[in-house]
Amino acid sequence: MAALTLIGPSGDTATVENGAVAVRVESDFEYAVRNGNAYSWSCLTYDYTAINTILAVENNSPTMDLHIQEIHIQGDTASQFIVHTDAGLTVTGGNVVTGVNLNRNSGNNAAATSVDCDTGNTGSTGYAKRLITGLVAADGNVVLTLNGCIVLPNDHTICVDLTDEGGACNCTIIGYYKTR
Amino acid sequence: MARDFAEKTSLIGPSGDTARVEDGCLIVNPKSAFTQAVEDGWAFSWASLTYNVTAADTMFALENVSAHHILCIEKVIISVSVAGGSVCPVFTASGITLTVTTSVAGVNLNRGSGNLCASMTNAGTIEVGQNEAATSWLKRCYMPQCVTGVPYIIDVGGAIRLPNDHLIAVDAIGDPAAANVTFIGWFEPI
Repeated sequence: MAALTLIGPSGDTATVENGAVAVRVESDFEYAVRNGNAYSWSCLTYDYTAINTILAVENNSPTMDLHIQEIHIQGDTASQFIVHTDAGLTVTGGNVVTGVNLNRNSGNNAAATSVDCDTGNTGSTGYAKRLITGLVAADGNVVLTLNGCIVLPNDHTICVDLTDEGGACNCTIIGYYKTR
Repeated sequence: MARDFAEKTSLIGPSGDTARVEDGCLIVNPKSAFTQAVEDGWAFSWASLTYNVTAADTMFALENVSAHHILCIEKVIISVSVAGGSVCPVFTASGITLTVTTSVAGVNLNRGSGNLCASMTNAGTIEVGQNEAATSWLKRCYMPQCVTGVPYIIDVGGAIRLPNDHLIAVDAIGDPAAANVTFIGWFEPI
């Protein structure tokens, strides 16, 4: 009977116990966090108008896709929310939102442009490229767990809109970069 | 039992990457059919805009018109705005001609892909008059109680598979003043 030992690049070998090989599940997101390629973009509370893009994040990396992991949406007024996408636009308008590396031991910076109250996208007219729609209650909180299923190449943007006017909103987008 | 030889071996992929082993564990990254479809550009989202629903309306219906692909449903996201909320039957049907009120185009989730679904689906359809209520939504899969302003997210995980001429739809038993539905799914070759 031949015996094989499974060895990784670091020299570690896989354990076999009770007739089972030990494995550890690591998602693309977890891998990106470990390697300092996962970020959070989170806007501060501000007073928003109707049909307002409350947070926009554009991927500026020519070599890596930006995968969207989670979106958190809050508003003080009941409203429809719309997650939509666009490309070839200049993200501009409100306050700059800097991506924060989720791995605080990494010095990587996000190759992205992000603002709240974005006025640079034209998708808010008709929302032809809408990905997810729904309703958020006054002072409600919507969490969309996407596990990286929205993929943005270079120069593509993800936007979160609220269509009804309110006095205070927040939005957070969690994403990670993966080599194409 | 005596062993003929002992050998240390590594798992190497076509790209030359070697599988990692850490703390005695082989590191694995399970990839679902949905994730693969996203990567290949065959996963789409169909999302309706808010509209004022009549009681027992079909708020949103999505039909697969491809003869070559199964449409697999990954997620259904339902929102309503009505006092007390509403039960929103999620059901399937087949052989029905949808009455299109507002056509909804599928949007590719991989924005780097040029694949279109318009040629293979009847897109999403806000559709009225199925009269499913009369048969108690015979082919119902879920009967969620949706609360006002709180999206109800069903992680179907591909467990609903629609062949050609089959559809998935969501009704509202209540009378919401506003409602949205999003379907996320992928196409799989037959």
